[in-house]
Amino acid sequence: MLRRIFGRLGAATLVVVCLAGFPAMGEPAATPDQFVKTLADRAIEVVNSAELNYDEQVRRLRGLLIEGFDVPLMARFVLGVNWRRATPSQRDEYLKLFEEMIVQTYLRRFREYSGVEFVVDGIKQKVDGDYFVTSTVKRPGEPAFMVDWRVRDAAGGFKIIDVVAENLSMALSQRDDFSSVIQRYGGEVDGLLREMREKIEQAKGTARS
Amino acid sequence: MNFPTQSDQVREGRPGQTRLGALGALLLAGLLLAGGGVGSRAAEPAAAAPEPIYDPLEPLNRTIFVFNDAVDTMAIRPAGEAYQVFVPPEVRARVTNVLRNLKTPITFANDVLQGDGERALDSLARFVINATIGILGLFDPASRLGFPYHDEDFGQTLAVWGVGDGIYLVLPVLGPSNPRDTVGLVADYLADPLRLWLLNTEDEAWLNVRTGARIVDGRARTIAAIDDVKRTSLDYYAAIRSLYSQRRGAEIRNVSPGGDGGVSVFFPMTDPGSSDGGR
Repeated sequence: MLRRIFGRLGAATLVVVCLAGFPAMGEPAATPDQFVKTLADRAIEVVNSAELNYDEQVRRLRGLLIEGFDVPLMARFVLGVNWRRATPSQRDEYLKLFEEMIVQTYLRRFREYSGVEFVVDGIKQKVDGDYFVTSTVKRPGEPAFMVDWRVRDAAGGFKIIDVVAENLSMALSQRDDFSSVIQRYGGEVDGLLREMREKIEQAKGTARS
Repeated sequence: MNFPTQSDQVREGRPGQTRLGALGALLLAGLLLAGGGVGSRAAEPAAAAPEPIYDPLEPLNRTIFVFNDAVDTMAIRPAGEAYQVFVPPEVRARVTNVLRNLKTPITFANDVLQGDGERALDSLARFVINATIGILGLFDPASRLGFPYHDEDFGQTLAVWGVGDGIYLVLPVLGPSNPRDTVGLVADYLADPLRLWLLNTEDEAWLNVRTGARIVDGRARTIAAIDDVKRTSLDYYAAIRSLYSQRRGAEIRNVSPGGDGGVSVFFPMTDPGSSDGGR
């Protein structure tokens, strides 16, 4: 019962934020939950926009991602021990490919979730300086699910460093995924880079349809 | 552990600064806390580092995984999708509730075996309330009365008793598991009071109905999530293996409500707390 009331309150807040427009856009968010809310609202606005074509959506979403996520940190975490073994040029390419993959993944997710209600429920925990902002994604006719955003208060403002959906960490599963690929290529980072390139091309092929 | 630049930071010894080098451990601590656990748990730092998943049978597991994926693609996912498309959400929510209520005696038994009095009480109250006021489990008034849904199985009980994960196993059709959870699966199956009752009354056909319903219900609720994993992962097998182990860990630590454990054929990745459609 309480949860429902809070859920509604959350929704109301979300609407208020939308109505207020984005004057706060340039300013750094005061609290991590506010930061997540604003970022998600802006992303949803981009993917729901009828005027923007696909390329423009990708461009804007990439901008939001780079602004809101610490992509290089996530990338290095995901590569794990192999980061140290990669050459500088492999690292450069890996960072580019990682960013591209993340953009594609989130673009697709946000597009699929257009029409859903996204409610930021608040800060759940603060662990070693990182905030866990918890949110609920409500889909019409389907059970809601929980997404936690691990937010770090860095020098340049808040940055998301992991997304934890229903207790499953994206960074962790991606790290296991990537390390398995490298292992299959006998420890060659180039094998991973090749598979990443293929995945990106493949996703580009289906994204526009 | 894997952040050279950041372990440098740690060496500089900034107090209170997140030790990025142990991000893995923190992620897991985060998982612990994310489920609404108590703050005191933050005090278990590096000890909670995720164990690498031990998978010595990987070649065999991969073969079975490919087989399972084929079965899923050809039969189980389409069944789940059809169910999702043709059966209204309101009805599907009732089915989920009934299945969960039928599972409650097993959950209750495992709560007791784990010595968790509070959750045992939750289970007992849920069973009684939902079977009566909830009309044979169709509805879930218990959740609103303060007895939230959770799932326990004998694999989790064994884990609480100290039995480790052992090796990773992919069971034919049943999907990701390990020796401990496989034993748990069999034990829960054999001890299921509903099964024993139906066997006695020679109404075994209903068991098949229930199994079928569980498979379709579980799969329908995970279509989007699993499609997403399949699409975004480079190595689908490794991604599922990671997610399975994370999910199982969360269930054992009771930060995830859990659900339908090893019974679902594929991988019930998201099983939100209450599926009472009108929430």
